Amino acid sequence: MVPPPRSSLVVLLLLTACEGAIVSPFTTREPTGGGQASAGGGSSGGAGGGTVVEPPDAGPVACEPGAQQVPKLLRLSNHEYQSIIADVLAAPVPASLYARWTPVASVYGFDTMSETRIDAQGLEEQLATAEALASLVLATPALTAHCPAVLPAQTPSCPLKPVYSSTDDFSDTQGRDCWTYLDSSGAPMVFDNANARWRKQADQGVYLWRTGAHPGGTVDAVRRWVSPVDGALSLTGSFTDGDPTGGDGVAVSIRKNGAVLFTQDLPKRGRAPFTLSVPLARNDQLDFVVNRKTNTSYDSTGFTASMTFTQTPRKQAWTWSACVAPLVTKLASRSFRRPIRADELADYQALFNTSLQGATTAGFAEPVDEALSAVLQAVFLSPNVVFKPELVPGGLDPAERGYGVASRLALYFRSSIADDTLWALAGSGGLSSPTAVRAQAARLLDANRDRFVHHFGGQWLDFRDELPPGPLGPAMQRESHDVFAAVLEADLPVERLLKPGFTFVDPPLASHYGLMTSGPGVSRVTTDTRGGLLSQAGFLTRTGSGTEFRRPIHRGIWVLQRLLCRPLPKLDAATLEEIGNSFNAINRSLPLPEQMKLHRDSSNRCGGCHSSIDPVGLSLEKYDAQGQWRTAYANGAPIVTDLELDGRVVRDPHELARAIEASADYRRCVADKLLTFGLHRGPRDTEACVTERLARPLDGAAPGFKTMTVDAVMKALELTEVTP
Amino acid sequence: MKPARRTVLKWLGVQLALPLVPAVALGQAAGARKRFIGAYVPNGAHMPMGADGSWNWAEALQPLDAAGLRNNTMVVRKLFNGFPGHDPHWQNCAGFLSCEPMVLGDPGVARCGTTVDQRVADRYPTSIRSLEIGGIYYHVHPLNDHPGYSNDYLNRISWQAPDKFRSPIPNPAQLFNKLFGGQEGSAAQIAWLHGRKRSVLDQLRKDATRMSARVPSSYRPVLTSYLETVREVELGLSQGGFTCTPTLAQPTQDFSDPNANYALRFQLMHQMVVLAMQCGLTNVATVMYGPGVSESLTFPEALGSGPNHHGCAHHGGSTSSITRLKAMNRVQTGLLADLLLKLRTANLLDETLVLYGSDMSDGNIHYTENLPMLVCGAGADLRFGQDIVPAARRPLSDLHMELFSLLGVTSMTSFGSGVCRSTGQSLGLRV
Repeated sequence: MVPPPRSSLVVLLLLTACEGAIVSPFTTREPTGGGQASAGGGSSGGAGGGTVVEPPDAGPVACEPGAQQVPKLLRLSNHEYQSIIADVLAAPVPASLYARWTPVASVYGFDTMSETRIDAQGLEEQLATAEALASLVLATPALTAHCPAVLPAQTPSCPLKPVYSSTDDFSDTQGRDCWTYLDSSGAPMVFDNANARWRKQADQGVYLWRTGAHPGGTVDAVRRWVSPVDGALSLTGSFTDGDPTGGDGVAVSIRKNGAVLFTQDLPKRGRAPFTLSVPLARNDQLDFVVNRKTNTSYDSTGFTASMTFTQTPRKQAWTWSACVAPLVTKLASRSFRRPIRADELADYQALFNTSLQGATTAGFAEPVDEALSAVLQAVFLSPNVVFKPELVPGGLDPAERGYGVASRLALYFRSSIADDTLWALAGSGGLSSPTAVRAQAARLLDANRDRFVHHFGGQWLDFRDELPPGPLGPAMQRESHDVFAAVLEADLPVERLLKPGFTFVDPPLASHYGLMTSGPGVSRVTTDTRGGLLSQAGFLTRTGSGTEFRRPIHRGIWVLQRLLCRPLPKLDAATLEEIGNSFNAINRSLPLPEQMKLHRDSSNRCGGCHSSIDPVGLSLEKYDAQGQWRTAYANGAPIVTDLELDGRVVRDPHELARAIEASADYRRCVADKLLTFGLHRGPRDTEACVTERLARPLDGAAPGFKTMTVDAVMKALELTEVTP
Repeated sequence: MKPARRTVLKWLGVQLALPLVPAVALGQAAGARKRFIGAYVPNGAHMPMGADGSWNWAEALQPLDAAGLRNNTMVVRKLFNGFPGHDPHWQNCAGFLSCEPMVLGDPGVARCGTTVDQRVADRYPTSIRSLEIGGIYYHVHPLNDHPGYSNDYLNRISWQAPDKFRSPIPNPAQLFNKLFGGQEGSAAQIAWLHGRKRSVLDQLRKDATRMSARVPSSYRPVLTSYLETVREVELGLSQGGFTCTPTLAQPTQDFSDPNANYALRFQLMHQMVVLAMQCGLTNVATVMYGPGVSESLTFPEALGSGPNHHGCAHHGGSTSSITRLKAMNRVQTGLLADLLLKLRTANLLDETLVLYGSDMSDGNIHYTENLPMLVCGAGADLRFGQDIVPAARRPLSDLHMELFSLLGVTSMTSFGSGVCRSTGQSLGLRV
């Protein structure tokens, strides 16, 4: 095809000009009958002479494509998952918890309809995140406010450890490891270094040493252990007669705060083993006492005790029924986007109980925390959360259908779970009529405008995930968001995205544009020169980075793909080779438009697509790589635009915007994006008429952006209705 | 509940944790090779139109020479890889160790072929099947992207099965925890935490099985794949306790920026991989020193600011870009030298073969002939210190077949498919 003197872009001829082209299945159309697209299918042109695109027949009886459900079991995107968790917990979650999650692929321009595989390394990352989320729940008082009171924290009155030993802990310091050394009158003993034992100040023959004791003539030897906190002590040990030479033996006892727990008469050569379990409150005294009986002759007594201490958990009262079940029911139901089922809850109960037992045995200070963490991790990573079963047959029971509708609406407008109003309606049957559903859609759009703009607008127009380069990047990103949101809020026609008549800037960005702004911070400024999609510095700088060559090509591709939904064929091997060859052959000293023309003309392969791409991109050259307006290149060469788009002459970016506005493709493209976002799959050829009517209803109405959006989501629900 | 995890294991301060045990004493044939490491670098070297160019001992390989590793290296030339119609950035990354074509069409679906390292892992199974290390996941700019190409193809070189890639660990602290454990507490508590992870995975498995039974069969493959993933993580847990003692402290530096601590990232992970091999935890590893395309890597620490790796590879004749590209090549061969020296110090070099190579030769024109490929190790039976130059061009899969033969993997009768299928002829690595 010989290019006419002025580059023309005409819908019907675009793709036939690209030689050897096999349409990528991912450029807007799926063939009728759904499932995976195959090469050369459908209406978007094809190899060798290709099929010509017919304008969809918008006649009154021709548009009944029937429903075709989502063909894949999809995953939540990482964005959706993060929003869901933050909303379920009603608490902010640090983004760093998700820093190592690998991204989910974008399919049809959105990351919400992918089967991206979770591999072992990925699951390990998710487990680490889930564990951190569980800790976050435990640290969020609002989530456990319904649980019984937690026992007050206790400061140990002496060093707290799991195991105590009368022999290992013996020392020359009163109170070390909770041991004190005294006699039965209450008087503390003093340490005799020379003999490595405790005795009374005035030696009376009462001693306590590492492995034993000797009673006195008027007082008993007392080895005392004080409980540092509330807990339970489990002890074993023995008293043994230490001197079998003679005497009448000793009487030994173990007492708690004076009350006798164990007592035995220890005759010559006697041995009194003991095994006890004793509950103790903080500062309770456990005394090991040796008494002389009638005389102190031959009364050396061996003594050893080894003790395990388990402090009373503060959350003892947090049982399954009083605390855990309500929490898990709530978190799981909202994350699953449907009420938790009986068998699922039973599983979690079993998991909690087994974990609680195990954690207690393993000696955790707060076993409830560990057990609850197990259940929470299982909830947060459940396939019921991570996948979207509500979109496919069998995912929901008939009684749960309302929740499926609620989830679809919530994912569309909030990229998250249903809010409380929507959730309640789902449960009470309040989403069974189209009127009710539509009313909720309208409400959700108003209530979640920022989220919708961020996720839908931000993916469609690239301002969500890629920050424009440079220090003005955040302000540029905010401008894209705010203009989109303003056009949406006022229900203006979608064409106003190209020429809104206003923009949102802070002083540095205003200065970048040469605009006046009223005060510090971001303000809305009336202007004809900025704010439109083609004049936003975010778009211009993101596409402006890289070589001079790339700039018009990237901009051209973006306009064609994002604003006109014109697919570009994929590059085949021969074309890739040409790219490599031609790249080196271009004379860099020539003006950019001439370089590009040489490139296009060098072969049909290149010219086939670039004859469409380059002129569009070159028509934006009055914006430099920073998005600032210029009338000539830095070296003085003039900026020449030579483009006719759908019959309209384009000499500069403003005329390009007007030509796009006037193009039937633009409105249809916006409708296509709105519809696709709700379909969770690519639109079929038979649904082209649906897109057309969303853009241009039969009754001649010109719906504003809001109306188009609500119409689109309603259509999307209808077209993907799940048949059980 | 618990503060940030710290290891309970002590700093030992010595380079080697285990005594040196000669291979013969372990009852193996002396010099029996049973370990494989596959290492990938993107974008080739300065090899104009596929000529040997800077891929020589004076230039790109100089760091290996300086480290005394020339006689541990075979430079294998005239190998090609790739499939018509497939962009070699993606194809020859996914195909580096598989020699199979990527499946294209749905960017959410990545399928290729089982890779060399996984075949070796099958032959020499260990408690950890294999280790994958690399850098931060890289997405191509949306406007550069080939529609229908999954970004996973740029970020994985190890594939356990055609539908099962194995993702690299990008963070040394994570690798540390995987190998040596990162929990604190008593032995009973640590064991219980291990068991808790297994209980959580068990519940995930139940949920997936239930869901799979509810949905029509066409939706099940995703869940089947998920169940396999859960099982794999569970298997990794069942080795009771961590038996290998680290010779370094748990890394705490920030590795979240692909360009900060670039060399340190790999040096630390080399140390841990080698230690894991010494301990017998694994016999197989793969390393990605950069993702395919590699626009994200700029090497500011080694080279100061300047164009990124991809930009330098597509130099278009610019001398400054070519100089920078050559310097980048040397940073990466320097890392290979670090790995080989650590293997040598650990006495593993004569039982290990390391394959180091790239997806292209002349990255400027995406040329996939005469790919830069090195085979490193030790032993008088192989032609270390020499160039291996076949009479005519040969598919990369021929090299993989020869590596199989040297590693005792006898189950493979051919490797790769289509134009990349192995010819059955030896390349002559043996003396």
